Amino acid sequence: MSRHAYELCTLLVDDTYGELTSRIFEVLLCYGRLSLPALQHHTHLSYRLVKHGLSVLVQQHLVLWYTSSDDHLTLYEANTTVAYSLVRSGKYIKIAEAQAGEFAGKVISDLLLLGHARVGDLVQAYGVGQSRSTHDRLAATRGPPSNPLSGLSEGRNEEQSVTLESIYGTLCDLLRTESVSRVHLSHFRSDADNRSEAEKLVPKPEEYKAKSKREQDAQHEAAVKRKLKEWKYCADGEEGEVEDLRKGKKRLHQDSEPRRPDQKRQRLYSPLIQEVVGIPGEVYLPMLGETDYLDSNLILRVNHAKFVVLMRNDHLVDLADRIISTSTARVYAQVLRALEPKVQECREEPEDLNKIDAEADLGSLPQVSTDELVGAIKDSSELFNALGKSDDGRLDMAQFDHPKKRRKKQVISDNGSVVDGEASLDEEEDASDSNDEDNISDVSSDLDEVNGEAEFDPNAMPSFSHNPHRDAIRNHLLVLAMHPLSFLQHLPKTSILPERWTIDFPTLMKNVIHHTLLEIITSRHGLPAARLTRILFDKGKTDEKVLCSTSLLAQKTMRSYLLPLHKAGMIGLQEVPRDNSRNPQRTNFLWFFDPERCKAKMLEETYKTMARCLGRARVEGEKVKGTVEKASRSDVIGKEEKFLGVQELEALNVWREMDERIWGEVSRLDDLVACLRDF
Amino acid sequence: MTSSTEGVPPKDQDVTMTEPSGVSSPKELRNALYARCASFEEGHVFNQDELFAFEIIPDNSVEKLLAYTKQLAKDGLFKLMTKDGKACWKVVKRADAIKYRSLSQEEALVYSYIEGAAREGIWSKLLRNKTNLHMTTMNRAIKSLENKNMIKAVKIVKYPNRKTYMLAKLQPSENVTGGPFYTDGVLDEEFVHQMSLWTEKYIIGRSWWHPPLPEHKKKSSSKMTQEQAEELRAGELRQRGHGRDRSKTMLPMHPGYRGFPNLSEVTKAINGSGLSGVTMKESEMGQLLDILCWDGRLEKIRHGKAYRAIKQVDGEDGVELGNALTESPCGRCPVFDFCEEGGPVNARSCEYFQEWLQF
Ligand code: SF4
Repeated sequence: MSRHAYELCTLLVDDTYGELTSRIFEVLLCYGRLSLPALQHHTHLSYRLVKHGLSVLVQQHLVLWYTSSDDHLTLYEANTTVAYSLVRSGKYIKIAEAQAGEFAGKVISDLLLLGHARVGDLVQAYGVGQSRSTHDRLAATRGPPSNPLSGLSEGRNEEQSVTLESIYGTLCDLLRTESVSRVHLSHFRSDADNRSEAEKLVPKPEEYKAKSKREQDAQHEAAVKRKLKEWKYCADGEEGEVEDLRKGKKRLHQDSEPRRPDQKRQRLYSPLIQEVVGIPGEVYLPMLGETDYLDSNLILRVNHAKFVVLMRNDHLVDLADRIISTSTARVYAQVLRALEPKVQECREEPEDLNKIDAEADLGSLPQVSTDELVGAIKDSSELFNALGKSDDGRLDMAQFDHPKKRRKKQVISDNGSVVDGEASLDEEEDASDSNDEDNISDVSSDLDEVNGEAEFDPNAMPSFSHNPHRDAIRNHLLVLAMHPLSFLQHLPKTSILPERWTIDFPTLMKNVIHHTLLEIITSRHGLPAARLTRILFDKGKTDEKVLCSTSLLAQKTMRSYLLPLHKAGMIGLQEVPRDNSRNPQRTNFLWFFDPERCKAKMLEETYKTMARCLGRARVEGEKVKGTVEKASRSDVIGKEEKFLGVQELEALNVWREMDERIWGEVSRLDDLVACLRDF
Repeated sequence: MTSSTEGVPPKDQDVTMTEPSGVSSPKELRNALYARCASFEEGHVFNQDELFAFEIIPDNSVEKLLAYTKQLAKDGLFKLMTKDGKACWKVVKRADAIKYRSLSQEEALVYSYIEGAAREGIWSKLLRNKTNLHMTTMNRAIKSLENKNMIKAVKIVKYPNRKTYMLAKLQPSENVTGGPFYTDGVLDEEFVHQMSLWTEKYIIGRSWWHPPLPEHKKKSSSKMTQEQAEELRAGELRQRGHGRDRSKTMLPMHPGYRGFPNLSEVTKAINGSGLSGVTMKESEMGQLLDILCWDGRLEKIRHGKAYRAIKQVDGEDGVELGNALTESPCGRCPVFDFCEEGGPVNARSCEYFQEWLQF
């Protein structure tokens, strides 16, 4: 994060929570970690004000804090990630609404505004005794993209007939989809602090039973990682609980199961209470009674990581729509939806560091079988006519079968009989790369194999050819899998596993980011510039002469594109002197393209652009400040015509339009940031 | 070796094909030896044994052979060379020999190196190093050779600034000209453009499905005049033959579709189209296809074996790819780097923004 990003974050905090907080936030960004006295010194604010501002910021997770156990000094630190996501509030709310209904959007909007909240408080707030003022306040700041004024008028119309059940239901839904998550003490600390805390908790490297020092270190590292992960997902203690929630068992309360004393559970569900607020001894049951009640002391917050996953899904579907076809994108959306519960974060660290280079290991990625997808897509009518065929109608589908099966078919057709050795070999090999989860479907597909409808007939189409619905879907999936961006990975049917699909997100996103970078280069510097950049990417560092002949551009033309690219920081130039004289005549000049550098540069520019947009939005706002204030007075709302003059109304409308335009632009810029940085 | 038939009589007439008989003068013997050697294919290199095998040299005496060949070389009819440390000779055509003879010593030296470089040509700097002549001497020699129309300057694509020479009668090799994309050592951008356009259309037509146009188009056709209809039909036919334009409505092909063109198919098609005067080689088409891929107009599929057009390309059919960064005023701002809150250029007073908001 850079100066421009900081500027942007400060603007966002200022927009949402006001000047006091933004001032403290800015100082923290400027100076890094600060203690309270130091903070007070730099902000020139009174102790009381700083405390007040900090408490708001901490509540919003905008400021992280950590009290070292050594010197008991509390240090505060700005949290740019959360500050930046303020710009996404509108998107979050929309996504939540689409996923779990309008009310869910409201919950998310409130949680965003409050930072985190107790379930009990939330329920109470939505309950009968809801006070007008809080409600207005909540609705008014639904996140920057929505207009404060329209927010207000909406707030008035909302009815309050939310039942307790539906509140709990929605909360459970959101918890289950991980859109909201529980708050853990670690969420208030920075990553580095969390790490040092975790290191304190897990046994020292020396305590592991391992042969070498290196192994000990590796085990220690793994333990620390595990601990951090536990904290992050609040999964310390019983993982099962979370699993249950995720699998959709709303009703956690199971009478048949004898419960252990809830000592542990209590810790699990109210870490904050215990560690932060420190109420000891009370026993909280997570679920009460017959319906879906959540423990009212459960503290919730918005899970940004999950929303980024959902945003990424939307982005990918859009992209598929643009570069393949709408029908195909629809199928892709289903795949993403099916995989979504298994994807917690966009940039998940591989569990095992050794696995990083083993990219071929697709089997370990979350998968979805063709049958699941076929079941999920009800209406395939528009998928049928969405693919072209060659004039003679000949198609080659065998290429998508499992390579071993292809071989087997070959063997069978050659000899006319099944070769036993061949088949058993297959099974062995397949078993080794199979997943244990798929046990149930294994049996059925195995049976299928034994009955061997089409498998043993080399001429027949695969056994499901009679199902056009399934075929249509499968064809679109294959189109996706074929695409050079590798939208999808196809895991062909094996003798024990059904046909499955998976997405290799790291590869896909690398491709998508590259695609995006080049799109920007193309639209900024022209097609030949994109050509030169791609050549440099493909060939690595390249001499100008070679570049000239490879690109089929005249030297002059080529230079006229290279120089602006270089100036914009998209490509680099390296000088390699041929001898010690450093004479430019005896120096090779090599051009190169570094995607990482280019990406960083573009992010920078995007942050700056966003900051400028917000700055301008504020200027525009200031111009009509008086009118806006007047228009948002409670006695004026709804009767604007009566209280405001023609000029005022006009100015208000113009401003609204501008504001919307600017915010629209900012949100599009944010899409770019998300794509380049977060996905 | 290269052919150098132009301007040279196919046979050297003034050589009489006399068999050595009895005692002949050394001159006759020399002529006989030359005639015998000249009857071989051009460029053949003779070693000592071969020359003895002609049985022209009396007594196969080494001294005599050396004396004759020396004289022949002096006359410019033989060229002395060495192979594996042993002497060997090459025949020089009589006409060429006359040319040589008319040259000064320096000119002959320069000429011989230029000749040696054959169709690749030789860079003047290299020539100077090899001949070890003084700059002015060499330049004079080159000038005079050029005036005699024996050598010519050529432009090498890779090093357009180097003065390069080759024999006037030779066609520069492809390394020098850079292949079909270059004319006189200069990139023929128009040719490249036309070729890539055609190729792209061809591939678009074969890698996407263009669903038939919706109803209204057909209806309007009934109201068309005969002429218009024919025009449309011709257009359609043309399209089918050559490929198609991009359109937003085109749909992906079935995954089992095998018709995505590969390199040799594209090459065949473009050579069949008659678009280019020269026949394109696969390697050259490969270069063109690579360019199209780098332009983001084509993509390689099936592990690089086949090509497919990319559906959406920036700036085409008036579609600009939606790009948040470039469409915002700051993304296109010339003073972006100087724009600073509180600075002389800032968002507060920015005119570009004003314009954008007004628009
Ligand atoms: S605010 Fe104006 S001057 Fe500043 S970068 Fe944007 S367009 Fe340029």
